[in-house]
Amino acid sequence: MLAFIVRRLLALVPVLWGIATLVFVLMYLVPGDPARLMAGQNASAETIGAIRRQMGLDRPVVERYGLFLAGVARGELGYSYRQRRPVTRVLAERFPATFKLAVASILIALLVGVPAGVIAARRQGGFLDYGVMAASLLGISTPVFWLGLMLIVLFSVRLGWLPVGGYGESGGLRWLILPAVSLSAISTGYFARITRSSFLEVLRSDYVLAARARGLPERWIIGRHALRNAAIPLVTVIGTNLAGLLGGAVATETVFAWPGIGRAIYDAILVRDLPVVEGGVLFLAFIFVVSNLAIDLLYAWIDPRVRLPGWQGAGGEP
Amino acid sequence: MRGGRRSLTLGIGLALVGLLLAVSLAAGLLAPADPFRVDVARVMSPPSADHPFGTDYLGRDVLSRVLYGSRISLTVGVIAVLISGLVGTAVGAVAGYAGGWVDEVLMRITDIVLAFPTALLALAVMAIFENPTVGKIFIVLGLVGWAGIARLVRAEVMAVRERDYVTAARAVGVGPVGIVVRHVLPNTLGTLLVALTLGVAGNILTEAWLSFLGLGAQPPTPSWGAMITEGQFFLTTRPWVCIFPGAAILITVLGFNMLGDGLRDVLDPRFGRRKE
Repeated sequence: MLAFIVRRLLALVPVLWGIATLVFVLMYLVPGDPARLMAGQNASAETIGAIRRQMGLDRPVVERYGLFLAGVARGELGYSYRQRRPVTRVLAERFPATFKLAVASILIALLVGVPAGVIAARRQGGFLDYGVMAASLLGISTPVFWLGLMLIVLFSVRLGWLPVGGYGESGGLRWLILPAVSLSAISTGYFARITRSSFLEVLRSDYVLAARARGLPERWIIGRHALRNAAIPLVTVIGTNLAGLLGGAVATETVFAWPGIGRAIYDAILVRDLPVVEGGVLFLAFIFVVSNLAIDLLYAWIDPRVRLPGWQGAGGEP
Repeated sequence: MRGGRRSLTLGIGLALVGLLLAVSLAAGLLAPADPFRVDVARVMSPPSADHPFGTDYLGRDVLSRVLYGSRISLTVGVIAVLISGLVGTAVGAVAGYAGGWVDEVLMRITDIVLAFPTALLALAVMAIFENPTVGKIFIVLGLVGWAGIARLVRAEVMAVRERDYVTAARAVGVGPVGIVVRHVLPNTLGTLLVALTLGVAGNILTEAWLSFLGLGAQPPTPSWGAMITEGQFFLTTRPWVCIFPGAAILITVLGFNMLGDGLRDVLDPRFGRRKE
């Protein structure tokens, strides 16, 4: 297990380096002088020159790249042009809201998707199966930002049950419901599909047949054997789904004026505050990569076969 | 029963995609009005006989804009997928065929790209352009989406590389490109087609998302995502401006997802067995 953890941690390095390098290249390619943007319209040549020196913009590219990587390694992502403070501070302030939204969405997706998939598998070919499969297809095909707007029209405007947007004082649950539900649509669909297909496979396996032959109660078979084994592919899907979830959060937070990292990225796009956009994306990519590592480790802990070097995964839908 | 469901998914998928194709080709004939014509006298009018989907904040006919919008979505979805398909096939074929350090280097790069959340990557790239356009979106989406395809093609190349008919072809002087095109690709076609069809669905969603965030089609282009952005400011009182373009996205993505699922059930026996 230790060798596996070390191997996975080492594999993380080139990925993080790749993300950071890409962000550097993008920022370098941007037209316009960052120092001028930072200084504002009426700044004198001296001020701009001073900012250039301070930001290290007068140094050669290779040196700037080195400084940038060293900064990222220390957790520095540059300065916001607009807010005139470190990007890291902007993101740190916004992180709790995004975290809360993401966790709530995953919980909803698990609580709805997994039972739906189990029901569909147990009623294979029946009316409920068709219903669940159709609903999950709709879920994975929905533009989440649009779903958010439709939920606002229905539950906030027409019915007046829930607030249109915002974080609420001390972040009340009422404000969380609509953004979390709309963001969870795609994951719910995928979780239902993967649960159904892995559950069907498990139900046909020898050990389930053996358990049936021994006359064990169905409830026991489902709970003890089937669900546990069907959970293994589900764990990886949670990881891959996180990418869509974090991307979706940018739009969902925009729609609901949710004060998270996604909203910060959107606000920065509007005023072309690129360090915040790129730093925000880098940070979300970092969260994605690290959570996937955590999930892989969890996976290896559940299923020891995964720790073998040549293992390619238990399959399941991408 | 199972066979019935499979062909049903494929059938509905084909019908939806066919319908969309027809609509986008015939948008000029079907649209009741010019999608760009501003009419200040009819700003934000609700759905009526004249304007079945209502009008937007400039008095433009929403139905006509939704119909023309299908062209943008389909073009982005298909062209981006073709770019990813070409790049992915090339990388996968070279890696699988060459083997050794070439394979090692290419697959390391592929793994890094696969580990990225692609939509966020596309956002990071689109954000640097001062004038983002639809054209830039399909290039960017095409260039971030190839890694999965490369993996697929490489696996297939490695599987057939040592087969007798490939050795025979090589013996009579068929070059690597010829072998890939004639012997490898036909074997991969089913899997590739499924991946590409599902890729179209993903690209259409990502384009709508980027355009919604202001990083894609710019006004007055009738892109579905951008139409929702324009409509959201009047959402509480005039929801139709948002409802119809979003429904169009949903139906389009659903169509491609069903087509991909249906094709997978029919073409790819491995997945077929898994899903039964």
